[in-house]
Amino acid sequence: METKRDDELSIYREHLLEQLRTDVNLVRQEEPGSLQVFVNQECVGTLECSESRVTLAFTSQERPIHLVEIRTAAGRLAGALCLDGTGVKQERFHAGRFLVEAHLRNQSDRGILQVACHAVSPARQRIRSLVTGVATGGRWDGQTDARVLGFRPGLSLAAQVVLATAVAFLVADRLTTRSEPGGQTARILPIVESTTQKLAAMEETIARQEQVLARLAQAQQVSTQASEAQQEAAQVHRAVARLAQAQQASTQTLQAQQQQIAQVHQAVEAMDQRVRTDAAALRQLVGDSRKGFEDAVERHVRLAQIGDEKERAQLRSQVQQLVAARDVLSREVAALKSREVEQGLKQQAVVMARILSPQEAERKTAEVAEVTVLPGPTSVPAKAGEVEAQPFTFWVSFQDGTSEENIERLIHAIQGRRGPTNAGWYNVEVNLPKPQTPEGFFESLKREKIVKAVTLTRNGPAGK
Amino acid sequence: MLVTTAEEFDRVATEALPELLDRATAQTRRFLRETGQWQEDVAHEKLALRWGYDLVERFLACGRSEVPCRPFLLLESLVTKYFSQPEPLCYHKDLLSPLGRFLDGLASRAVISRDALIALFYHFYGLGQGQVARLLGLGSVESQRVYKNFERWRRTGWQRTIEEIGLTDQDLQEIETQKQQHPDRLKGEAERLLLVVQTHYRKSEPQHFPCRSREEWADLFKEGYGLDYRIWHLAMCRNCLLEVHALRTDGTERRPAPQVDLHVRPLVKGRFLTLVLGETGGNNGNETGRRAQHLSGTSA
Repeated sequence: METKRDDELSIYREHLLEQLRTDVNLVRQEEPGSLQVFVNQECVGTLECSESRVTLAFTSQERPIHLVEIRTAAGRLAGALCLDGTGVKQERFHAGRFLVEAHLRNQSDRGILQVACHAVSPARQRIRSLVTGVATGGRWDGQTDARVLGFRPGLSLAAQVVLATAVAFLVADRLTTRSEPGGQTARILPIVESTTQKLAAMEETIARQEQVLARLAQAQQVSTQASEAQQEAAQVHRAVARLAQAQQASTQTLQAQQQQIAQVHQAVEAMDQRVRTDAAALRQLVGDSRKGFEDAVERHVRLAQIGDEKERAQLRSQVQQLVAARDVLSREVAALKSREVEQGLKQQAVVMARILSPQEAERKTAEVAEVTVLPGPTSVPAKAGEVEAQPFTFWVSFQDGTSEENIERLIHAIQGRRGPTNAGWYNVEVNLPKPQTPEGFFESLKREKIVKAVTLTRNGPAGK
Repeated sequence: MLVTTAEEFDRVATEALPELLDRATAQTRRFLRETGQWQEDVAHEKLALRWGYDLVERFLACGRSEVPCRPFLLLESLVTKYFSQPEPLCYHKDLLSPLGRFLDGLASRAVISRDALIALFYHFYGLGQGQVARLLGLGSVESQRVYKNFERWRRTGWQRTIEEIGLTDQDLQEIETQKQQHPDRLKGEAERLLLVVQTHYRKSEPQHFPCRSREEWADLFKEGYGLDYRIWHLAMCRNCLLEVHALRTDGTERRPAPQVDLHVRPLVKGRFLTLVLGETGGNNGNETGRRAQHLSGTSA
């Protein structure tokens, strides 16, 4: 069973191999009828082979072409073309007496295939094969070349037999001639001469034919080159036309881009000008505002300074006036009081003198004299020895905004000594004259405008 | 081994043909195994050999334009690329029977051969040239043009196709015997398999793939265009063939609709030739086969 199966498979395999070996030759001999063009194993068209040139063009959208097959009507594969990725590839192959040219151009998103088929005349084909064979230094294959030249293999064999027979006959004839000298030689001589002449004529004919063949081969080569040059020229022309179109398109694109660039440039310039204008206006505005602000600040500062100085001068002058007026007033009051007291005492003394003894009158006069010294510790300086001063410490606070200068001036006026300061309270020590009480001193001090409160101790507002 | 010229490629490929075929077959076998479509039997082995042969044929044609190259690596690349396609092969388990291989092989050949395509009308439906010309609306000139190479099919094309499929005379006789003994069963089986085969191979010609409505067919025949479409599509689509037959015979002729009527051997002109070729064509004196051939020997 296994053997039968193996035999069957072996026979099948051998048959397929034989098909592969013979197909190449068969496709060159067999009349193709029509040619089917397959792209990526899908039939895209048929070429009806005829004497005139027929073409087929196919464009594969969305993907390139990687396999092109051209088959005869019998299904034999005449030729194929593979192309991986992008690029260009072209191939020529024979199908019977037809020459098929396939040109494939692959781009990333499409593939373009052009197939052309035209008949090749038998003589041209034979000469071309010979020229190609000689040019490529191909090995002589009697069977193949006989087929190419249009002879069947059997005919070639027969020609070889005839040639061998003729050679044998000639050799035999020569031997016979040698064995029969004399008359036979004379008889054969004209025949030999005529044969020699015929041979010469034949050689000339063969030489002429060879020359004709050589000229034909040259003409064929020239015509092939011309046709190839023509095709190349046509391709170049097409390429130039495509280049011109591409150049025109690129020129138009360039012009459009230049226009766009000019528009953009204009827009940028306009925007730049606008920005500059806005910047100048802004700069001016900022300068103006800054200047105005600085002026205003300066004005305010100046006004404030002026006001402050004026106010300060006014205050100073007022204080000075007040101090002077107070001094004057206190002096006048003291003088007036002393005068009144003196007058009253004098009158009383007079009265008392009239009434009392003279000792009592002297004591009363001394008491009146002591009272006249009492108006204030600072207003009138007491004479040493007459008034006994006692140190007195108190705390005083001043109205808000009172300057240190005014405070110093007041302390100086009462002949005080400044102590520590605590939370707006000033510790001041004065020498209070003996007859003057702290309460009286406080009352007189409270009458000062700048004094807010007076106290003995810092703990409680007792004297406030 | 690196080959640098087309001539060298031809020489190396010719010398290494058995190895090339074995490699392509092995890769096909591996593909079938990996896709779960392999069984250890003669039919599968033949299938792998047949597809390997197709791939080597492509390789021999393509390789000349790929030099310089390494032939064995190039073959592997080509085979791998082929099997990387979505649906590279028409595989169906039932297509491995002699009947299935016959239908598959003929349809597969029709894709690449116009001779085989026109022969399908005869092998599948038993239609001769006159009937096909009437059905497809071919004039005398067109009919002659289409059938001018039919003789080549009869002479060599059919034989070559059968040999490439790997069908033996015994296989052909088996089909003919089935047709003789169980015609209805064979017809039903053939109809079922034809649907599978035609659907697959119709895709290989996308321009002629889609089916048309009756109105479109009527318009196509009335205006007289789409000759290639008619030939290709109707040979590859039984439903449309019935539709067109109904359209073409509507109210004018009373002809039976074309039925599946398998003819495994080609039509040979003349009964004498039929008998002579039937005996020499490898029937080994099988009367059933000759009778089948004889009965289908109507003049084309």
